[in-house]
Amino acid sequence: MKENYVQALLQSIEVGVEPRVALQNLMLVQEKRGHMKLYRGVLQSTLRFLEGRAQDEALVTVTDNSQYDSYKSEIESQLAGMNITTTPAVQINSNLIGGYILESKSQRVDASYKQKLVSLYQKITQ
Amino acid sequence: MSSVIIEKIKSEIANLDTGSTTTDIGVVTAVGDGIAEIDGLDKAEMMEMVSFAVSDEQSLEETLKSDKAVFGLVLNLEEDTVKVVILGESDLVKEGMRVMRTNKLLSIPVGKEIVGRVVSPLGEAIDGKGTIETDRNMPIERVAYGVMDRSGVNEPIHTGIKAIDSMIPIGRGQRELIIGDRQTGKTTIAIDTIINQKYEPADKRPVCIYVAVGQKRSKTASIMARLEEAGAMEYTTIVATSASEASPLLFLAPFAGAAIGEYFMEQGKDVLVVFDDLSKHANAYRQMSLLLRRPPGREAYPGDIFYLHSRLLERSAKLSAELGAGSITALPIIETQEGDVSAYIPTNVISITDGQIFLDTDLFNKGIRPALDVGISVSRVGSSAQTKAMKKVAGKIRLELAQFRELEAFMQFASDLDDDTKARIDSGRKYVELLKQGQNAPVPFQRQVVAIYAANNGIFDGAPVESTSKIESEFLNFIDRDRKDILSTIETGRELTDEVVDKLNKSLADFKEAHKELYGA
Repeated sequence: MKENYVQALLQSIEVGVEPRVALQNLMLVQEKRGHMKLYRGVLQSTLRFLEGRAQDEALVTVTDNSQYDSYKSEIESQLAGMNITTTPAVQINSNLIGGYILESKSQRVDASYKQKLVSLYQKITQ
Repeated sequence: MSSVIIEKIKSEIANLDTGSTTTDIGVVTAVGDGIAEIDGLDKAEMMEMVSFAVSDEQSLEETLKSDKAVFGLVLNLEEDTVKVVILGESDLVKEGMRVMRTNKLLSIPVGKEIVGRVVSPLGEAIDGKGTIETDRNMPIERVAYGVMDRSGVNEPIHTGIKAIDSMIPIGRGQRELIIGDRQTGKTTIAIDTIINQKYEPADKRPVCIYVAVGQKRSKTASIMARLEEAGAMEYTTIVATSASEASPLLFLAPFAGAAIGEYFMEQGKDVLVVFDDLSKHANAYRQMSLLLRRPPGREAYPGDIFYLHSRLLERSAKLSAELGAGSITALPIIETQEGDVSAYIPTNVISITDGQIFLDTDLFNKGIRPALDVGISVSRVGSSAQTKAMKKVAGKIRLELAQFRELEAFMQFASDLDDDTKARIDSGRKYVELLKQGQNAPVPFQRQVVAIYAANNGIFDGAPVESTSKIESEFLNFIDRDRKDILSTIETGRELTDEVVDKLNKSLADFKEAHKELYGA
């Protein structure tokens, strides 16, 4: 039943109904049918579906833009492996020390200096 | 020393893997009450460990200084989300945080180094004696050994408590439930059993594991002190969780104890595991399941509450000779309310175990300690788990007590009893006195055999009931002093040969002759 509501909501948005209006209509229908308990779950599922469409988005974290340029070809090869065709967003985080972290929706590739130094420290102190 | 360190650093640097690491990740969408809801982690497995990326916002120095790695345990695999119980400081977990799979099921580090230590359910030392270095991990959850991998239970584990070793004998590989109201001596029986193992020869002595589930820290500390004082900590490990810890850790504690036990069992050793207590374990599991939004059943327990305890206790086994003939003996403890053994959790665990030792509050208050209700206590393994010596002497004591219980009610109403009845009542009272025992004073089995044999053969005849304890202790001192060979013969041979019986009969006669004052003469 939840899936039916999700599909109906998505269809009404795709047809051109304003999202705010679509949500109000959904709430009215559910209230009338006594299905208000499903409202939150319908919204969550709809959001996930819409986020799922953005599966091919990726985020690269580097210490500065010059690091991104030096690892660009490696990053592009990793993106190809993840079937991501879009250009990744870039985030700066100096805590990485060097290297990069590439994240998609479901995977994380950690090639940062910080991760290697932490790993080295743990092996030495074991 | 510094050159060793330098060489180690050089070697680690030379072998450093400079490639990238790829892990599956998810995102925390909600966190509260020790539970995190995670979006993603499509390939996560049940009971898999996940790691929260708490160090993403920290500098390298902060990450190295901090020992606050936060892990979680996957317990709910839902349609779009994964629910994880947080094993660590849940304050550090925030919405939007990345969560990585570790591809490892929850396990605990094990090894002989863990014996004598107090650990958490995750294997961390909490006794202040330094970290525990081991090279092996055992999975917390594991399928129990199959039927064909097991052999019959035929070797006794002596508790040192006369009433139990004579009438409710426990074998190595058995599950014997200790059940009773609060403050009836349940933990005392378990601790006395652990202490009594010091009388076993070193090669036969079982490794003992005491699992404290949600106990007061003061109680766990006092138990540890008692075991240390008795010299029992040398072969005992304590897995401790206090009442203030999160319910997932209380849930994991008994499984951690079982995992440690399995390590030693697979080496061919015998293991004794005490679960104190499974009532608190059930409560913690109920709390955790309700937070995970699992549907509540009877008394708000989840539907798999029986499976929780059955899969834990089925891991106790006596393995076949091909697998090393090791064993795990389990002593689970259940606390009842107002003596109600027909409640939900007690009946569940009674149906799982191979017998129960029932402790009665009324008997405790009357001064009969240990407060065993022999009438409803049972060991389903029975005399298969007794030495020949004990088997020979225990039969009569059971019969005498059964007859005494029948007459006890009758004598309150009857005004004039015949001599035979009076004699049976007198004998029953003396056997009850014989079975009384002090706390933390387990009796080695050979001394038990001698004491019960003496009782069966009239050592208390003619003496008042109040003198029973004194006569027993004087007789055992007499045997210790002048007839020590009897005890050593029984200890090594484990049976009452005709020669030993003759010596005992002569000792009885000599004792009675030499101690007439004890009989009112």
